[in-house]
Amino acid sequence: MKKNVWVVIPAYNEEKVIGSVIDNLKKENLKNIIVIDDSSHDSTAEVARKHGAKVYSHIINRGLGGALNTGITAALVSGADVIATCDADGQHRTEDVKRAVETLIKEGYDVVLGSRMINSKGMSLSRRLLNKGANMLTYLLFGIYVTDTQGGLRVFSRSAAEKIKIKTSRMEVSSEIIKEIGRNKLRFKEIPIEVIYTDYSLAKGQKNTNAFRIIYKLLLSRIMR
Amino acid sequence: MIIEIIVSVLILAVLIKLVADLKKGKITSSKFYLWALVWVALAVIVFFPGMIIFLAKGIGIERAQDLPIYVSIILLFYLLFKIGIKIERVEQEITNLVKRLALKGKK
Repeated sequence: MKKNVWVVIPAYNEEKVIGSVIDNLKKENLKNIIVIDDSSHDSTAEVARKHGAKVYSHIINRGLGGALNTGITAALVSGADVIATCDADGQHRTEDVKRAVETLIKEGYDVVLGSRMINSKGMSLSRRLLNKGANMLTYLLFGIYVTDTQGGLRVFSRSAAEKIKIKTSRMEVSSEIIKEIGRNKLRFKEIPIEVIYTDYSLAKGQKNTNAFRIIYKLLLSRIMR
Repeated sequence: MIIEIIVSVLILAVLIKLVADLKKGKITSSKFYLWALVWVALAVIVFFPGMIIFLAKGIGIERAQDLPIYVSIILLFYLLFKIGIKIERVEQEITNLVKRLALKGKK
């Protein structure tokens, strides 16, 4: 049976690259694409639409978590069997997205995560250390260890996507998803991926200091439960 | 004597406002009791300052004047924490709202 695969791309001010990301996904035969325009100031939505993506627009900026939440729900409504997420800035190679999707389908996992850390050359030392710290913290808080908690390339089966409840709105969503994988005892696999750090994607990515915010939010979410 | 009059008038006004808010349903009864307790305790302290010394000694604080400071710092931290949680909730609600609007208004 052919699986109905959807790719969800949260996007904020990505008009320069979103078009080529969509085109590259299509080349990999990933044709169902949802772009969540998180209230961009530029023409991200128009460009994405022109390249054939289904576009949902946030009327105010909610951050990565909010956009992923909207996107995953939209994919479920569209009848997706498999949902992949990838970044809009072009840092993920579309071959890796395809490979992650195939791994999930062929090996029957609930979740497949792309890990930049299995093969982490090209990443700065400070970023590597921060990632390690985030992994340790995620393990201490949620009891699940993965090598890369902050990566944006993920693939979910439909049932996994239905179980994962996203509550946080911003960057802390990455750790939250890991927590949800642990809570629902989902079967997951990490596959090594290569990321393309261009000046563009580095400028748009997370700042290292953002780590403190994420830690604070995660602790808060732990207490709120 | 003047300070006692001013403070008691103030506390009375606050208590009247609290009762009015409770009747109008603006605050929950648990919040009402909490705040009523805080203000009544304040009134008691104003009229019987000796209480503070007694209380402070009781929990091992040497200088009685320090007790109100400790209590207010704890109270402030507690309030800050509550506000943090409240903001988080409001954020989640806004996100939900934005999500629903986006899913409805697909172009």
